[in-house]
Order: sequence, then structure tokens, then C-alpha cells
Amino acid sequence: MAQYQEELDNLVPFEIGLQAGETMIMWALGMVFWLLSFVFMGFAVGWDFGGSFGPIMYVVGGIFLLSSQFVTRWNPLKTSGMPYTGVALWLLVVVFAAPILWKGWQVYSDSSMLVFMISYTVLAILITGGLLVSNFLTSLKILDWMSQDMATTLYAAGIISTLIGVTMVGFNNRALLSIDELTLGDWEIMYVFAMSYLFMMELHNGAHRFNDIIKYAKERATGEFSLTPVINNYYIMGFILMVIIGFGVQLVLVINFFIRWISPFISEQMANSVMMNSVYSVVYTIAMIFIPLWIVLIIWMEYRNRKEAKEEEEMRRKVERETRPGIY
Amino acid sequence: MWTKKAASIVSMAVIIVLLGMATRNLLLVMLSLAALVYTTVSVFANTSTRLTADREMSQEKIFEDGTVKVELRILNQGGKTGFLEVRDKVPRTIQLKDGTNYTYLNLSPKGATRLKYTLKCPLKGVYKIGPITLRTHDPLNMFYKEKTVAFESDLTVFPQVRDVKELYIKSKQPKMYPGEMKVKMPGPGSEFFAIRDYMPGDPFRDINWKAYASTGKLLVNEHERLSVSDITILFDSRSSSRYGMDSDNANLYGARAAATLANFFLKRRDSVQMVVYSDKVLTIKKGTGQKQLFELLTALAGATPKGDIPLSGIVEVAIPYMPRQSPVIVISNLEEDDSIRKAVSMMMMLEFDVTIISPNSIEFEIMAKQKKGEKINAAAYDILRLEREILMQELRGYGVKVLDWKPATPLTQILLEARNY
Repeated sequence: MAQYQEELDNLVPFEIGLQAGETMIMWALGMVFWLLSFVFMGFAVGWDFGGSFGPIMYVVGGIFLLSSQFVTRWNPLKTSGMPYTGVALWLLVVVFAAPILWKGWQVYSDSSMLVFMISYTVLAILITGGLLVSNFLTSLKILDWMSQDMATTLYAAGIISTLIGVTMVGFNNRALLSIDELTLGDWEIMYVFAMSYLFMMELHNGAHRFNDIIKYAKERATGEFSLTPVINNYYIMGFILMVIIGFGVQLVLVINFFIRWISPFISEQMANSVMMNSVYSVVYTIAMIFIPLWIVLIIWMEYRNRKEAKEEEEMRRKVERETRPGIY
Repeated sequence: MWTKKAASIVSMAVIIVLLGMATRNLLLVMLSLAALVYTTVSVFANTSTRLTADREMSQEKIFEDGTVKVELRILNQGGKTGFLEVRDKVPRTIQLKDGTNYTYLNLSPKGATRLKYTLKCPLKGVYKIGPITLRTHDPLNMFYKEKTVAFESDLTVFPQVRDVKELYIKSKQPKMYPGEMKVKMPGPGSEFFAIRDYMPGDPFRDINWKAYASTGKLLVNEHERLSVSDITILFDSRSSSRYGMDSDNANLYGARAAATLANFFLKRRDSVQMVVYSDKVLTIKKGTGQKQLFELLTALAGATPKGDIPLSGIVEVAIPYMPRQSPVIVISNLEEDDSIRKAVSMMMMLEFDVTIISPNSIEFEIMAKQKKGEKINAAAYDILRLEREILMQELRGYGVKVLDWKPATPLTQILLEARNY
């Protein structure tokens, strides 16, 4: 007879309904910030989205984000062994990315649509084939990694969709190309847009996280389990950190302004270059600040981890020595 | 350590900045900038903590379906913990009856917390509660530190012991000490055994006056001798005994039967020895009393299905230690062992009184498949059933009592079926 083990505990039925009550405010706030990001994106491009695809993608993304709160942690991979949500997410990316690539093709290439379609189809088949090969012939199962529970998949799809929307909107607005022509107000609008989007992502992610914890605790525990003090602390600490992050973003932008202001004094050629008068100057500033900072941070984190591991090992040895029976 | 979220955000920020550069989209670059600052700030929000934990349990040895209270104490010897997750690992087959083994909290400097929960243990086994996992992370859940307190508590869950009033498992070879077990021989006892002619010295109260009236001869009643006996239990814990579900399989049912029998015989002041065979052989030498029962139950609790040692090998090793003509109870599903016939014939040749209690693994497997909603190949299972039936008939042909134990049949009923033999 074949070996047969009970695995019924892993099944999570698919349910539609509101997530935990404690996280409702986070969802609601997240949606408010999503709306704000949409509005400020509109302000940033003067409400000229250059076509309907970009804003539609943004709205579709918002709908995905909202709907991710109405479903349970149902995981088809766990239930049926088939990575349905991974495949769905992949298809979503393939389908949603096509118009962007087509737009890029139109801007940068003179070839016909047929050439684009053939190239894109070959690319999609190659990547899909690669994923399938990884899933069925190797131990590197990328589709399984992509396959998450329903709520997480919808959340990821929402983020991808809104980012595709932003990319498309940006594609159609040449006004954003010359940053030296932007007013301080334009910068502030884009800053508020970015911060609103970040707030939305954080709040929805927090809601997912806390909802998972509440569900897990309620499934496992028969007694009372309250996450309210932790959630309240999250609101306070999260707000403080977000204010710091807001200042941090502004600081980077101020450094960017300073570099652009000082560049004519260093080199006229550099000051007039595309590098200094386009988005590349912001990217240059980001690279200049974050690459050295993160090298230092990674070294520091590694040093701290090793120090703590060493201390823990010493502590463990000390306890072992103290509890070892003596020879009498 | 980086969380999945942090890795995703940094990857997303890099992709977006590249996309922003490719499409010269300032909105995307701004988003990437915000995400990078967000990650950087989180590094500094990750606090360093010094936490210790210990656990106290109300009992370390219980019977199946028993409960045990656990108290977990966590002490913060450092600064603020930030967001602290505490999880005390509990084996999958143990249920949480009350309270929680998991919590999520903020602990103040030098603060402490207690986690109280009650575990219900429906299945026998030797379990470990723990280790305790303590995980702290920043408010934005970007970086975490995990500490595992390798503090495990042992919990032994003995198999259920049912109350059995009487078993017709008798020894043919009495021991010299009087006891409670009938040994199929005339001697001191209370139950009628036979009638024989009166012999000088027989007590008058034993004379059967009714028989005297009808035959005219003095006849006396003989009683069945009561004596202490040696019982041997051979418990099959090979890998085939796990077929079925965690909660219904031959290993679990067999252990309950063995525990019930051992308890019954030991209460009757018999001497019980047991051999548990799986990938190795565990022998508990014969003994009596509560201490012996405790040893037998501990052996049964730790008997996990593994290995495939044949029964004949066990019998060959155990025979020198089994008193002639004494009862031998084999608890086995009779699956995947070609040596059963040989083992049984060997025991019958040496006049052991062999009883086989056989939990039906085929039915356990079918039950598991039905529960999971899987298709059952009826023809294949019919063949398996037939093979099993033929084997049991063959064993009965040797003069062995073979009890086919289906999952729906209660243990007490299956033991009472021994009367029919």
C-alpha cells in the first residue's frame, strides 16, 4: 500500500468578506492616499494623461488594491498544487506591459506594428517557457514563488497595475522631461504624489500583515487576542517614521537642487548637459547619496550581526558551562 | 535580516528608477527615491534587544485526550523591543485548547510578559514543546532580528487505557504463585472446571450432592486454578502501521490495545513483558506493578512507525525469554511481512497460546482517502481485502485467535470477541 499522510489541515477555504475589523482604518486610509496620489499625478501632468490607458491602469490598480481586502488568504497552490495565482500574475504583467512596450516601440523605432507583435510574442513565449521549465524540470520553481494567496496576489497586481499606469502617463507627457523648467510647486506636487503612493503602499501592506497576524492568532488561539495596542503603536511610530522619510526625500531633492545650482561654477559644459537638466540629475543624486550610504550600512549591519551572534554564542557557552555536571 | 517586504521594495525601487531613466519619467524617479529613503530610514528604526524566555508545564506525562497547562515567561533585559513576535512551537498533532502560544506585542525596557495556554493531546507520542522563537522588527516591518531560545520541554502522551472487565486469554502453564488468572487446570479457584470421583481428603463442601443423588457415586466439583501468569505482547510499529491518518492508523489503535491489555494483566497481578519492533527492537523485560505499566506505556508512547523488521526475527530472539505455553499477544496489521506464517507456526509448535489483534490498515487507508475526497480503486482494495482474509484464515488454521480490527469497532468490543474462540 502507498504511504498516505493527512494534509487536510493545510486547506484554507476561499471566502469573500471584509478582513479583520482592526485593519479597516488602514485600508480606508490607504485608499484615501491612493486617491490623493492619483489626484496629484493629475496635477503633475496638468490633467493631460496623453491617452486613457495610463489612468485606466491606475484605476484598475486601485480596484485590485481595494478588492485585496475582501478575500481570504486562500492559496490555490497549497490547495490544489497548481500555481494559479502565479500564472494569473504573470499573464497580468504580460498583458499590461504590452501597451507600454508598444508605446516605447512607437517612440524609439520606425518598424511596423507587425514586427513589434512578432517580437513581443516571441519574448512572451520565451519568458513563459522559461518559467514553465523552471517549474517542471528544475528545483528553481519561480511560478511557485510568484504564487501567493489571493489577497497578496491582488495587492501585487494592484501595485504593478498602478506603476504601469504611472509609466504610461509619464510616457505621454514630454513636459516632465526638462526638469529645469519645473517650478517649485511642480516639484512639491510630485513629492506629495510620491509620498501619497508610499503611504498607500505602507498602509495596505500593514493591513495585510496585521490581518494575517489576527487571522493566524484567531485560528490558533481560543482565548482573547488583541492587537489594538500594537496597531496603535504602529500608527504613532509609522507616522513619526513617515515624517522622517518625508524630510529625507526633501533632503535628497535639496541636494539635487544644490548640485544643479553649483554645477555652472564647476563646469559650464556639465551645467548645460542633459545629465543635469533631466531626470538623470535626480538619478545621479540618488546614486551619489545612496550607493556610498548603503555600502557603509551593509558593512555596519554585517558587523553588528556578527557581534550579536558572537555575544549570543558566548552566552550559550557560558550557560552550558554553568549547567554541566561536575565530577565528584 | 531583510524581510520579504524590504527585498521587494528595494528591487521595485531599482526597477522603477531604471524604468524612469529609460522613459525619462520623473514621477517614477520620485517614487523610487521615496522607496529608497523609506528603506534607509527603516534600518535605523530596527532596535537591538536582549530577551530571555523560559517555560513551565503543569505535567510532563499525560494520557491521550489529557490537557497540560503551559506558561511562557519572556523577560526583556534591554531597551525597547519595537514590535515583538513570540511563538512557542507546538507539534502539529497537539491542539491548543485555551489561550495562545503566539503573541505580538511591544515590550518596555526591563519589561516582562507571560503567555499562558492549555494544550490538548489527542494522540500518543513523545513530543517536544518549543523552541521559543522571538522576532523583533521595525514598525515598517523592513528588517527583523530573530532569536530562537533552544529551550524545549518534553511531553510524553501515553496511549489511552480502556477499562476491560474480563479477557479469556488463559495460560496453560501455571506459575507457583496464586493469582487471579485462570490457567485451564484444576486447582484453587471459584469457577467450575470439571467433576471427578471423590478421593479421601477432598473437602465435603466440594461434593456435588446432585450428581451423587442421580449416580449414587460420590463426585466432587473441581474449580479452575487461578494463578499468576507471564504474558508477552509483541507490538508491531513498522512503517506500514502508519497507513491512514494521523488520528486513525494501525500504530495508534494497536498502541491503545497494547496499553489496555498491559493495564488489565498488571492489575490482575500477572507479569507482562513487551517487544516493540520497528526499525529496531525495544524489549521491556517482564515485570509487575505500576512501575512496569509506566515503562510499557512510555515504550508505546515513543513507538513511531518506521523500519520493517520481520516478525519471525522477533520471535526467534524473544522465544528464550517467553515461558512455555504462556499467552502471546501479537498486535500487528499483518501487512508487508512475509514471515508471519513462519513466526506463528514457530510459536504454535512451542505451544504458546497466540492471539493476534490486527488493526485493519486497508480500512484505515480507505477512510483517509474518503476523508480527503480522493478516488478509491475499489477493485484494488477488494484484492487487498481478499489477500488479508486468506492470510487470517491460514493463521486461524494454525490454531491462532486472529481478531480483525476495523476502524469502526471499539477496542473493548474487539477484545471481547476473543470469547468466541
